[in-house]
Amino acid sequence: MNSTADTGGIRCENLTFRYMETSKYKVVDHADFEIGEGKVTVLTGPSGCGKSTLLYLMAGIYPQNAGIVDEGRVTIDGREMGGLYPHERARIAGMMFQNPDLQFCMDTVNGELAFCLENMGGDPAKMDEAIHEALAFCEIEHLKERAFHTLSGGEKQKVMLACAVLIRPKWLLLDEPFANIDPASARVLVEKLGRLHRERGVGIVAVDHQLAPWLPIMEEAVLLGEGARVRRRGITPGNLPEFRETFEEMGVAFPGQAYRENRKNGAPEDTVLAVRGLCAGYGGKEVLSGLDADFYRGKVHAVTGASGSGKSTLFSILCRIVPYGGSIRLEGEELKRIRKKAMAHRLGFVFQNPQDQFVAQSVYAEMEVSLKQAYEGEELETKIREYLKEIGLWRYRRMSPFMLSQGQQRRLAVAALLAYDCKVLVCDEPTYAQNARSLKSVMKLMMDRVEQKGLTLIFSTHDRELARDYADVIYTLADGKLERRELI
Amino acid sequence: MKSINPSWKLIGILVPIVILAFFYNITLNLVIFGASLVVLAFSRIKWSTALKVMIPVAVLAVGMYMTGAKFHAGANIGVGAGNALLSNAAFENGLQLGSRVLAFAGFGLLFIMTTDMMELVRSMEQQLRFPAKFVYGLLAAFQILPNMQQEYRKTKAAFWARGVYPVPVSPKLLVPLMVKAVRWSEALAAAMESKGFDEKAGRTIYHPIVMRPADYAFPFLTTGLLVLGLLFL
Repeated sequence: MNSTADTGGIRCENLTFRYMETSKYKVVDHADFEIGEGKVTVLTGPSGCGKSTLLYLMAGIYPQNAGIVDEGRVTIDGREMGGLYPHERARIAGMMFQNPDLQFCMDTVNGELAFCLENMGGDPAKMDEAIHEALAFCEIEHLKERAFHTLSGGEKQKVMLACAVLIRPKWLLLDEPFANIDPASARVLVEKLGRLHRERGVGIVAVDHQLAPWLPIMEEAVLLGEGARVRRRGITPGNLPEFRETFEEMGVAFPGQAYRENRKNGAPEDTVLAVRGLCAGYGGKEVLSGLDADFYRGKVHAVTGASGSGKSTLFSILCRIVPYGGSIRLEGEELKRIRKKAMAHRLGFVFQNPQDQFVAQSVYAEMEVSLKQAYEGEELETKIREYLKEIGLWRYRRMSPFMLSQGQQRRLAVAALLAYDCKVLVCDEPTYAQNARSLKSVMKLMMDRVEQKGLTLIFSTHDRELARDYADVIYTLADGKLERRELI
Repeated sequence: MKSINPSWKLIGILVPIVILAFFYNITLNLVIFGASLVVLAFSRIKWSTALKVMIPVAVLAVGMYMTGAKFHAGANIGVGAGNALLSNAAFENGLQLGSRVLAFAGFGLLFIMTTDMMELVRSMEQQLRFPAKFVYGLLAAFQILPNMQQEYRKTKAAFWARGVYPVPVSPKLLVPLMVKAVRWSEALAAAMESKGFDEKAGRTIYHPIVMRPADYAFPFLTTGLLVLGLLFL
């Protein structure tokens, strides 16, 4: 082996990777770069450019679990990750994932932390002390005995960080860790990550669509293009403005940049959806308590709030997955009393994850399901083509919706619902796993309907800029109630 | 009951069930069922849950009684259902089958109402030496079960919103659920590996389960009691 000075840090050498033997598509195509020892680096780039795959390759999860490396290799501190056992890899590179729900195998926080220590073969007598220290570091001692299903996304990510603090890897690799959590929790996590870096010299590599949350600790950002090849390096918080045009050209969010100029439109007239004294909760815990809100015809409403504040609950109530107390009137009619079968043309909803939404085997059939209620025969075909061309998916019409990229899936899901001409559209977290360009195109799709057909749009988001740039009315959820702010 | 080691409790209940399967003894069956209820009464359990389990059991027991009463040895199956008179043999055969259901249910209740699933799985690892991969796979699966239910409802709502109304548990609803289950298991496996979970590595145990004499004695006690019952009842 060479001297450590020569091999320290993470090196991708001419790395080429495919997911399937039969597929020619190279997700990572001759990626070639290195990250210096102990640096804080953020990898960003348009969706589908292979940046998450690259991270999994660095962690050694690929190709051990899926895919084939055709050429090249990844090394961390001179060791090839793909050839190591999981318990060896864990000491070199820990990970934090996008979906906080799918990271834990035990029922309680304490159990999960003990599981980490057991895996590392630690001394059982010292475990309690180590767990206490890790919890204290993350300032979540109060969560120790809690069950995971009672934690919010932000809290779960803090527990995941505590796991990393326990295992003490040399590197921490993060795959969009803030995608599902509120900005306040993200700020705390970034601060803790900064401390891990300063005090223990942990190197940090994060993949993220958004650079903004990372600015306080980021040493370098790398802009990746197709095939996870480097487009721009050496981006630092100091010289960031120089790269603005490149970001825009590639459709990647630039920190602090507005999505669009907010249009001003007239004062609200009639209420389409009136919520009065809304209450709901799970297992004895009240999430919403006496919530009042009005949603107006042809207006755009943003609902914001910290994670765990009840945004998702409100959304689940509107799409009638969760029972509620109080009253919700859709055009004067109580939501509970409307037959579920009559809902399709009145209130549509777009889930956070568009994959929850697909009902057909192909992109074409997906649109057909929506449009065949209003059209038939040749006209139906013309309409389907029209819709699919509008969202740029006509060439993918024979593919399964599940094979599309995240951005494409979201566009298809939204278009499929808009085809019903519903009066109200509820959209949960349109930013979920979207880069700036595809987010804008989805928002445009919905905004066009608002302007042309007087659709009432309600969307929930963590992104304050998004709320400010698109909404007419912003509601902020806190302590089970809504605070209202009009922008008109 | 709750404090007995779950693995040994499982053995202590499975062995008598297997033995019981070979014998036909109405009194014994009823005594077992009664005894199970008595033990449960002293075990501080949630009776509402127990009652929920008992409803299908009761239906099954009555159903088995009817079946047994109708198709007993010597019954002329060809004759129609009009035969309301039950012979002694028919009554006994019915009771035989019905009481067996109750006896098995008694054993089952005794186990599930007093056992924490997490503890059972951990003790299977420590006492019965099940492979770690199996044990932690099972634990991880427990964690996503509530998600499954939520996802099922969500998928159904999504179909309804599109004006498609599949019947409950239709393949249309289950296919997306299965796609997700596969993805979840991949994500979970990656997360567990990233925390160093590895069968080949020497794992230590945070809180080893301590075995007491009562734990070892339990299977012998239950089997012994059953044998006594078989001899004297």
